[in-house]
Amino acid sequence: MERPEINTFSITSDYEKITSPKVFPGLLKVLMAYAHKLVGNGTLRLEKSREDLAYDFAMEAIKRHIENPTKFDPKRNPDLVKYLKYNILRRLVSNFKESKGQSHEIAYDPDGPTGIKVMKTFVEEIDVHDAIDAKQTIHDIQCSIIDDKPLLELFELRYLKEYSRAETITELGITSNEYNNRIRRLDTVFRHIVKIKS
Amino acid sequence: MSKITLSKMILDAADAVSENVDSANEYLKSEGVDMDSYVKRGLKDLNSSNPKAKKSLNKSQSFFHRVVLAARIAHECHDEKTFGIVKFQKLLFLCEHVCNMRFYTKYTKQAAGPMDNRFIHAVKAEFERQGWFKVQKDTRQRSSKVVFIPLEGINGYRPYYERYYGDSDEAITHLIGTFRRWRTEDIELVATIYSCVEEIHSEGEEVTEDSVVKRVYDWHEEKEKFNKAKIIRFYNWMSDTGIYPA
Repeated sequence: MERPEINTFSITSDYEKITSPKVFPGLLKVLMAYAHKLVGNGTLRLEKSREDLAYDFAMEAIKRHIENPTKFDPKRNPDLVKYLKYNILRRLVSNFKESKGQSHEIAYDPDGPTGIKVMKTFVEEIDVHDAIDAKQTIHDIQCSIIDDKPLLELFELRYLKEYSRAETITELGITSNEYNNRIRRLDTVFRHIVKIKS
Repeated sequence: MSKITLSKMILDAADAVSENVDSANEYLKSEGVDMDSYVKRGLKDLNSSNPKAKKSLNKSQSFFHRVVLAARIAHECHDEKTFGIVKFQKLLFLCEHVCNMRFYTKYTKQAAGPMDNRFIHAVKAEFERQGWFKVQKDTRQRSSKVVFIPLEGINGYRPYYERYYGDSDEAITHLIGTFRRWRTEDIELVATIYSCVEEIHSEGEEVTEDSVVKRVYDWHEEKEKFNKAKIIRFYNWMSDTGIYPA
């Protein structure tokens, strides 16, 4: 599998590594996909598009790392992509979602002194994930996949019995790739149900 | 509990779509995201906020900065058997380009790769004027090899080097260490490939093994001394090690 070749460099600074044409496109795609999914559909009520928001978060994560590269400790976890996703990006999106009620939005601003600007862009503050009945949604998901054994097995282990990802993979005897495929299929079901409800 | 489960599903889905570049690509495409424009925008945004961007130098400052860098290279390599004027030029070219130094340069395509003729002539005189090196043909050999003989004031370049290149010293030292014992012909090929890839980038074309090979052969008829397999091997080594244009 192709991964951004972020760990192969030995001579250039973090800025040069990350802006290298072999690294940057892949890195931005991975981070934007992650942010795009985390941001969710609730942000469609923003004046800014969901992809623009995902871009802002991905760039902010990259920029924060470039400015403070020593916070990344390869001895603890050598995967810089994971570090950017879980230590910076997830926190950025989570903080953003929590502060939604304040009707402000952070945005990447390369011309500004801090690199970030705060904009008042919310038209209204509603997230479809907050609006739907979670218990009923889970029930609906189960009903939708009742005849899809691979999905149902995964759903029950991972979300009802609360197995970890690794435990679920072992229990089902599947590859990591297959696990991801099933998660993506489950997400399609989930989004379909949320769409109907909203 | 149910809400936590839904959040966990979203986190899992986010992990799954961003597992690698292929899955991210597939997901973003399915969402109708035009990644090409975001990639271009991202590079532009990062360039404009490059923390290492230095204020631009005037021509004479640029010249002296280059002389100091050249002195560092010559000081580190002057006693290597393979170190002559061509290797000196190519190491200078690679340090300047790999470390994104913004100098006034006039590199042209020469048989032995990219070369800034005017600077090379000027630097010899400046080395002597500063009392750092005497650059002359090796009188002990019949060949036309040029040698760099350290003069009494050799260490005079050091304070300047530390001031100008403190941030880049690690990369410069690594480059010098990497190529110190390389054959001149091989470092010539690295510098040529580097310049070809830069040229392809500047024309907005896709860099492939074939496009690099073609550019190398188009560079100068002398490049036919390198076979295709060697050019590809060097190109791949360069992209793997990061000695590659940004």
